[in-house]
Formats: sequence, structure tokens, C-alpha cells
Amino acid sequence: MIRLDCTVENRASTLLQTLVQRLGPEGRQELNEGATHEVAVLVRTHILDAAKTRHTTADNIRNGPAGRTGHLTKAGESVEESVSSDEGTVTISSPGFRRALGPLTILPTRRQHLTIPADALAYGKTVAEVVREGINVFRPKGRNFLATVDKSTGKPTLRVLYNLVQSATLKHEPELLPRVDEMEAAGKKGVLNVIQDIINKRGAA
Amino acid sequence: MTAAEAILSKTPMPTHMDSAAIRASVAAEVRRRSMFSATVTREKYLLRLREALARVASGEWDEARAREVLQRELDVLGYDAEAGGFPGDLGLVQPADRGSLRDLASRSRLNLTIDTNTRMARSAAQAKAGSSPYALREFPAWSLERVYGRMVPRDWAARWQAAGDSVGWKGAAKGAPGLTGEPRMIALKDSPIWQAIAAGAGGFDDTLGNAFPPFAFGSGMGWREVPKAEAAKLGLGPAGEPDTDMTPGQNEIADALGDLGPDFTANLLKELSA
Repeated sequence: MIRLDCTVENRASTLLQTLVQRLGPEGRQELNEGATHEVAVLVRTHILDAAKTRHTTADNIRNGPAGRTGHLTKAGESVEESVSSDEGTVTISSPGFRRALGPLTILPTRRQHLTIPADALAYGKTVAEVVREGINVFRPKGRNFLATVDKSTGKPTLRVLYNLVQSATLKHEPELLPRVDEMEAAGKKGVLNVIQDIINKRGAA
Repeated sequence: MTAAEAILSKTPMPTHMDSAAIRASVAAEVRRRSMFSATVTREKYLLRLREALARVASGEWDEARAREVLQRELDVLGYDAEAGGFPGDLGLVQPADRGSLRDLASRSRLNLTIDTNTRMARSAAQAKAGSSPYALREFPAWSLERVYGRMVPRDWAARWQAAGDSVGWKGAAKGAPGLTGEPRMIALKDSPIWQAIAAGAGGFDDTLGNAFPPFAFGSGMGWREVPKAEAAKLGLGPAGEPDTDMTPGQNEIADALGDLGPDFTANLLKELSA
């Protein structure tokens, strides 16, 4: 899970800090709500837009948009916000999304190797699921992959389903999140909107 | 409440009924608070399912891990799709082809269950966050858009038309063209069109009954919040006189700004606008 801190007080300029220090819990929460919601909308939209353009690996292995696992879209849909008088946070609850903050090394936890799909038959599936589908999966002696024998063309051919690795490092992909200055601008906009609404209401009253 | 917490708060309800029977005989509010899965008659499996869904929603597990755990649980409970389900189901559940959607252990069934429930919980959380006073003011509308590709997409333009017609287009944009000519489906958050879509207006019986995405089984549609300026261009804005009521928090801020004086407010606005 990634947690983004949107608390107004933590990022406030001198003028804004002066205002915040005069507020009780309800006033502070009002400002945190504005800042946090703007950041949440920005982050969600950014990730969903990124999902529309980033699918090369999936499309190389499977055909077309319907075959993708949609992991980035799921990350976008997982964006949640939490606001109180003391803090505002936006969270992204998606495995592997931490690569947005830095390289992410994945190690096997329950088996000796990670299984990296290398064929359309294996994409998005565990080995157990491929076996459940009636496909015979085996590891050729001395080799670091799992394969099956494909007899569909008449001539038996070895088809590599999964590469076996001891770790995998996902490169840092900062573009999966908006830039820090964009998120700070969104937070500021939220605070501005809150104050502007108050000025408008007091003026109309 | 987070999406994971919402899932964990549901009460498991074993049933031999299929989806259509559940929709027809169980009130929407009960369905929302319960964990049903068509033809799942074992509470123990539903408890495991609930745990798996919460861990997926929280990001702790991915879908592959959840499927693996659930398939193992079904094996332990002796589930056999072709034999009519769990031991002791006594013919209440029809046998299903292995690998089909009616096979609880099939990849397609598990994916549908995990995706549908996770998306529902996340959308409910998004709907709640989108209904705060700030969100309603600054983002008064939702736009229904495709977020997942589908081999055979549903005709959402037709569903939008039918739902809009059924509610007299109250709070909803009719026929607003998108960039490539397709109709944009945008409506105020409190428009009755969302409930009409949920109810399957136009005669659609594949809906889930929730006024938030996914509106139908396996749907690839999702929501985007629409800023007030964009909504206003489509004629969607608050009706009547502007709201002048202030929340206690706004009153606090207004009083503090009053004490700090007009120059302070002007400088603060200038700084926030920079």
C-alpha cells in the first residue's frame, strides 16, 4: 500500500499555518477534506489514464485489451482517502504499486522460485491453474523454466510457459503517480476552493 | 470505512440459489450487508472468501493468490462441480461443467467473484468519498466511462438512454457527444439515473442492484468525478438559489479570517492561487 500525506498543516506556507493555528478540529478537518479530495481525484485520474496507454507487455503475450489483467486500472480504482482534523491521506492499495516510489524487488515467499509467465497459456495464471486446465507442466532437468509439450501442430514442440527466477526487480516507475508539485498544487487548490466558498457564502448572506 | 473493512462487515449467507433467484427474492439492502455467492452452500467457504476479498481490496494479496487459496479451500471441503457441489448438498445444486462459470473452482468463476466484489467495495468507498460536502460542491457529477476492455462490450449508450428516459433525464446529460462522437454518460451524483441503471431500466436483468459501478456482472465500466465547470457546460448544476449554509468548520475558518483581517485573506488567496 502507498500512503500519501495530504495534511494541510504539514505542507502549509507561513500564511496558511497562521490560519490553521487559529482553527479548532472542525476547521482543520474542513481544510484537510478539500486538500485530500483534490489529491485523491488527481491520483486516481492519473493512474487510470496511465492504464489506458501502458499495456505493451500484456499485448505482446495476449491479444488485445480484453486479455489484460488490468492491474493498473485496479490500482486506480483502489485509491481511497481518509480525513480527520489531524490528517488527510490518500492510499493506493495495489500489490506492486510501490514501484512508483522506487525499484521493487520481489522474492519468493512460499516456494523456491518466482514463476514469470512467458506464454499466452500462462499469462495471468498460476501454475496450479494451468495444471487444473489439464495442461501437463514439467521442469526439464537442469533448466530454469516450466514447460509443456505442444502437440497441436502434429509435431511435438517444447513450449516454455514460465521462467523460473529467484528474484525479480520491478524498475522504479515514478510516472505512475503525478509529480509531487502537481499533487501539492492540487492540495493548494482544495484549500483555495474551501476558502473561496466561505467568502462567497459570507458575501451572499 | 475502507473497501476492505466494508467487505469484512458483511455477514456470510450460504445459499443454494443462483444469482437471478437471489436478486429476485432477497432485498437489495440485505444483499448489500451480506456475503452471498450463487450456489455456495458452505459458510466456511464464504468466510474464507470474505477474508480473501478483504486482502485483495487492501492490496495485501493479488488475485492469483486469492484464487489459489480459494481453490485449495474448495478442495479441502470436497467440492466437485460435476458431482453437484459440496458433499451433502443433496441435489440442491445442479451439477456444473468443470471450468464453467457455475464451477466455483474455475478460474472464470473465481475471477468474476473476486473482481465483482472488490470493485463493488471500492466503488462504494469512492461513492462515499464523493458525497462529502466538498466533493459534491466541486465535483457534482459522475461520468460513466470504460476502464477495462471487453471482447464483447455491452451497449451502454442504449442502457443510458433507457435509464435516462425512465427518469425524465433528471440531473443527467442527454446525448452529450464525446471527442470521437460516442455519447458521454454524465449525471449529477444525486440523479435518479444511477438507480435506474442499477435496476436494469430498459429490461436488463444482468444488473447487480447497486447505484455504483460495476452496474452489471463483468462490466468494464467505471466512474470518473466531473468538476463543476465541466458539469455546468452540460447544464448540470445546482438548482435554485446558491447554498449559503455554512458547516461548523466553515464558520470556524470564516471567524479566523475575520480576526486576521481582509489584507491577510487577500494575501492568502494570492498565495494559494500562485
